[in-house]
Amino acid sequence: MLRPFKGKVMNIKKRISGVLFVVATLLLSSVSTSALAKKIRIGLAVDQLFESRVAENNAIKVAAEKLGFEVIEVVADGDAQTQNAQIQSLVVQRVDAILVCAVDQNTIERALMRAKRARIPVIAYDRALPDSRTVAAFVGPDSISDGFEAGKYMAEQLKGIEGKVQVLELLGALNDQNGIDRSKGFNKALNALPNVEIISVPTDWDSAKALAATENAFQANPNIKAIFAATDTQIPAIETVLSNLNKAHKVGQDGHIVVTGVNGSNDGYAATVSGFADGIVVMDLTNIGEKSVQLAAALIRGESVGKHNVVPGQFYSHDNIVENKADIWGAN
Amino acid sequence: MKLNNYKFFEQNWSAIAVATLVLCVFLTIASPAFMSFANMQSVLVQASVTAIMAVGMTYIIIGGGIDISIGAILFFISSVFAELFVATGSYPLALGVSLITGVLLGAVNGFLAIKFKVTPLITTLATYTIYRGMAIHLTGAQNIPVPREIGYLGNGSFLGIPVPILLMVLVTILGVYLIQKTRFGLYLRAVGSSEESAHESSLPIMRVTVLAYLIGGLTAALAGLILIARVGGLQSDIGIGLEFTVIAAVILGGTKLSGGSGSILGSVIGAIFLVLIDNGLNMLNASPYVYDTVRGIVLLVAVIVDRLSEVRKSRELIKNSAMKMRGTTS
Amino acid sequence: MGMSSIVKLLKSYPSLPIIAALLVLFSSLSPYFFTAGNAESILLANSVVLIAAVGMTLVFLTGGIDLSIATVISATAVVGGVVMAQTDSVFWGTSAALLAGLLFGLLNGICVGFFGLNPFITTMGTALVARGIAFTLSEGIAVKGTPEVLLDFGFELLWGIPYIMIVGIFIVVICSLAMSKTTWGRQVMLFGSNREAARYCGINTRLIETSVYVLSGLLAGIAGMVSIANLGNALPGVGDTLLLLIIGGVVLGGTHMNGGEGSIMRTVLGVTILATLTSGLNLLGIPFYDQLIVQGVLIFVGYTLAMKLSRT
Repeated sequence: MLRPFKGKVMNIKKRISGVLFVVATLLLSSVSTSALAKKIRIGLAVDQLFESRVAENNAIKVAAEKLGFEVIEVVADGDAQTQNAQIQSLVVQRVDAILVCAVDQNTIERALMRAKRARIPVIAYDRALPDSRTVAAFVGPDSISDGFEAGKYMAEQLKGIEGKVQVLELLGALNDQNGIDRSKGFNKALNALPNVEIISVPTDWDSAKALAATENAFQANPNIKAIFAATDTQIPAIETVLSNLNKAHKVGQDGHIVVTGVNGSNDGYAATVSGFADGIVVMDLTNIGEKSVQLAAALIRGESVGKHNVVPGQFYSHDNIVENKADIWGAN
Repeated sequence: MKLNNYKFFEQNWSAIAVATLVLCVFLTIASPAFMSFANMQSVLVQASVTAIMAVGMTYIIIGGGIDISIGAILFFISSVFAELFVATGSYPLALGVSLITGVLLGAVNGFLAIKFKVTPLITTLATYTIYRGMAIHLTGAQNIPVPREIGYLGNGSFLGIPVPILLMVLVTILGVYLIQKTRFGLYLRAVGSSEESAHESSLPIMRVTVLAYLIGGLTAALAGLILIARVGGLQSDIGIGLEFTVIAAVILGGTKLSGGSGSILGSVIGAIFLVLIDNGLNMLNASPYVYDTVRGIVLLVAVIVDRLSEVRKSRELIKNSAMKMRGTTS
Repeated sequence: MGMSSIVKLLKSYPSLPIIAALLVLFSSLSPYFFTAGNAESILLANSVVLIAAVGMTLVFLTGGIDLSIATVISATAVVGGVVMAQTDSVFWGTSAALLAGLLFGLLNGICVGFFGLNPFITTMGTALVARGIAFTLSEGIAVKGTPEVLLDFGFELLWGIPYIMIVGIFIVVICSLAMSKTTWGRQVMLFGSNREAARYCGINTRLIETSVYVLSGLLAGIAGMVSIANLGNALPGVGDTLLLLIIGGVVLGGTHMNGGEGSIMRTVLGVTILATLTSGLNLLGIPFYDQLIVQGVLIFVGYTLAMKLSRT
């Protein structure tokens, strides 16, 4: 787009500042490129900022600083096109490696191909890119296991109930491998009970959508016995609905609705401590952050690395969550 | 307004009221769960956020403007509230500052649009971007949980009625009063129907317009406080796209974008109508993705029907006056 | 070049000073800004916006607005994607996407041009319909199965310019010519500056008004296909976030919202401003939220400035 009217722009520039500007630009650019060339720089392409992502990014930055790496962070705010342009701009800056958490796993490949063409190794962190032919490695949570653990505990609580048991699953998003895998693991665990019917609603990780979905689900099926939240940040929204319906009974009380989730935010922690939720699976974000930087360092050195690296989370119930507070990244 | 010459069907909110009644009857027949006290309450609570904002938006539209930024104002206010509450722990302080901020942001919209004579659409599109950016800057794009105990505006109830419903009713009553019984309401309608003649009769255009946008900001602030209390915290995508739902409610309620007149009550019913559609689609087990399409079609049908009846009315008017003229000549 | 020719240039392209300022600023602040690689990246990222902005300009010139253009991009991309996944044919995919765009445009055009409905509300309604269709058809997930030919098309360059931007340039040229050289173009301008006069001149004003919305829908269809070539798959929300950039580009270029004043070349410059801004701020490491603030301020100030310059 710059091409067709470059001539006109130049005309005006000549009148205003002339050659001086060009000289200054050349000088500046040569100075800054040589200064930047020494340090190893890692591009961090982030999908969106929210609690767990920020915690994860901080872990990455700490690990990078230990190795003396510089981190260039770009955030796409949930827009796939923005992210592609941002990855392009990291390629233009010739970073030494790119850590990417994709907004959309189906539309990121083209941008990553351009990184590959520029011989920049790419590591997917947090969100796996199963169809990608360009990603050198993945580091992230073991979402199948995380979903399974949350489901297993729920299944144990529901074991004694006779007749049909309805369970509400607030799914993450269908275009996100973590959402898909958590759902997979959760469903596998609940299949242990033959009388369970799972009502599954995608929420796109959005609490307002989770709120509406829970409201609507209870209106259509008032006898729901348990709720699984793919992210525990939705538990407060669930609590709002259940309180309005007078169903917000604590663990151990009559009529308690079993609530479990995955993540490890303060929302999930507080709800589990209070007994509204039965327990949450907490992701090990520090470990994920450290591992992704180590992998980047290995790839920059030209070593080969394991392709699929997952870190399983840990389940904490109402009974043991307080004593393990230090291991829960979001608890405060 | 005396009861005997109060003609229901001549009100500009009558169409949406009839449509809402028809929809209710249909839903009652279609699903036994619909006509329960709990469900009605839940419908009204769900409608409260849109309805309250729609009242503010009606003022802006009556004054001949439009505000695309109210979703961003809602988000900004929620951010200010969450940050302040977490920082100070004082509920009244956070509440007061949030509401004042809402007033300021709305006033800025009105001021910019009038002072620089920039189309309100562009002005508020620009401020939409600015407010959103400022809000995310403020919070660092983090989600901030808000403790449930302080969520009184969203979850509490007074005399057995949920607070959001009470607030919606209160805002509606105030809104109707302000537009019908005060000099401000009169001026606003005059400015909206023709800025030129308002200028000629030396009305305080600036003050009136800024006040309308200010009310828009205030209602967005109130709606934001209800919303985060209900959701349980601040999320960075709160308020996105809400402006279009709100404008849709206002238009369905019988207010015209041309300005000069409108119906506060209609906008509120419009907001309830939109929730009822969602409610009905949910009972039919429709995919949530269809909701947008249905809303769009309803909106288009509503404006087409409205336009057709307008055309018919004007034709009748011409016919009547022609007959009268013939009557006088014979 | 004399003083008067500068004034004339500024009058027809009021956004030139902003572009010059941005180029100087970013070139001096980032060593990566004025490079071929970055130019390619800017061109790649802005083809969709440019094509849609041309459509929006046509609508603005008649004094209307097309709020649906963004979600129609999404809907046509999904329609094209679904058809390509079934037939593995770029031809049928493109035909389907263009047809879908045409139908949405026709819906807007008939409502506004023939029924005399308010363009803001009409296109807002259509926007909702299109968004719903995009998400329902795709079930909210990117539609996979794009033929290799289209993927290659999205990846390759011609003389350093990405093919998808050549599509954009082609559309700019065609539409500019149509505006300046054809009777239709002159009628659109006349209609935009004075409806009554246009009617008295015997112009079929309903048809003229309808035609710009139809074109806008059609261009959205092309933009939808280009988005697939660029991203690799059809994303159901691909256009939704672009509305701000599209309208921002048009008004920054100096096309008036009330019609009658503006041009497609102005829009090209307006889109360039926003594209340059985003690229430069990204290279400087400015966080996205601060970029939003800068963008908003620039749109407001730039529009006010453009109005002033093009009037004097």
